[in-house]
Amino acid sequence: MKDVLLLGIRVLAGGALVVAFAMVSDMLKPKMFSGLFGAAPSVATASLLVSGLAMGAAKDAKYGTGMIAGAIGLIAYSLAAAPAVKRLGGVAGSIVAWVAWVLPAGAAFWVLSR
Amino acid sequence: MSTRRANGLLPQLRPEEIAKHKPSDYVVRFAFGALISLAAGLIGMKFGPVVGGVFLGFPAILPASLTLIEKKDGKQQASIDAIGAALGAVAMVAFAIAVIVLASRWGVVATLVAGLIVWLLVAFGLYALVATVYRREPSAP
Repeated sequence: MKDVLLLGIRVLAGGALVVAFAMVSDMLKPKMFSGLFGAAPSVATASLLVSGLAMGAAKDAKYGTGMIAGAIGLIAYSLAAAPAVKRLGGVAGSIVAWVAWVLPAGAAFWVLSR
Repeated sequence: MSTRRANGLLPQLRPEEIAKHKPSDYVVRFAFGALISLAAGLIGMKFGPVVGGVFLGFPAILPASLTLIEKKDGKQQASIDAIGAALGAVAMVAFAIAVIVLASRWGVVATLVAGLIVWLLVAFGLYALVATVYRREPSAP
């Protein structure tokens, strides 16, 4: 029951922080600067806050280790999405670019978890 | 000429831009944020926090943003937004390292505040570096 409650809080907090960062991004120009906030740690902040308060800071450090791998994948994703969106459009380009997240994130996870 | 180009990269705050977005734009982003939070939480519970942490960097929100930007401003602007996101993602690595280093010493709240400050400093620093070197917004690749 506690797990479900924590998950619920995490989901609501994650969604709310994403909207907050999106609003900041929408108010900023030029586009490359506002784009910074597309990779803001919004979901991470909400998730780490809830899990850290409920289960202790040591757990957050472990989440942080995995997050390095995910963020490395996100760098590759963003670099792949830039040309993909231009050529294929927003929906198809941003979905195709997911492929670019998997390999670097997986490789970094493998290195970090050894 | 170069000053005019550089000024084009100076960050500007335009609160009025919010009004140009439909509420549904934010509902979509809330849904994506909630969904990836749920996924990372469930994966963390099932496979452990290190695996769950990988999904804290999963690009779940960026596709929604890029799609909305494409509809509003075109493919070129969506593409440039993705380049900015790459800089933000480098800063996300710094955020994660800050969490690892500080979590057991400073506690959760202070660590996350410090992590967000680190993210802002690295992201803005990288942007300033790119703006100084290139002096103009890059063309979409």
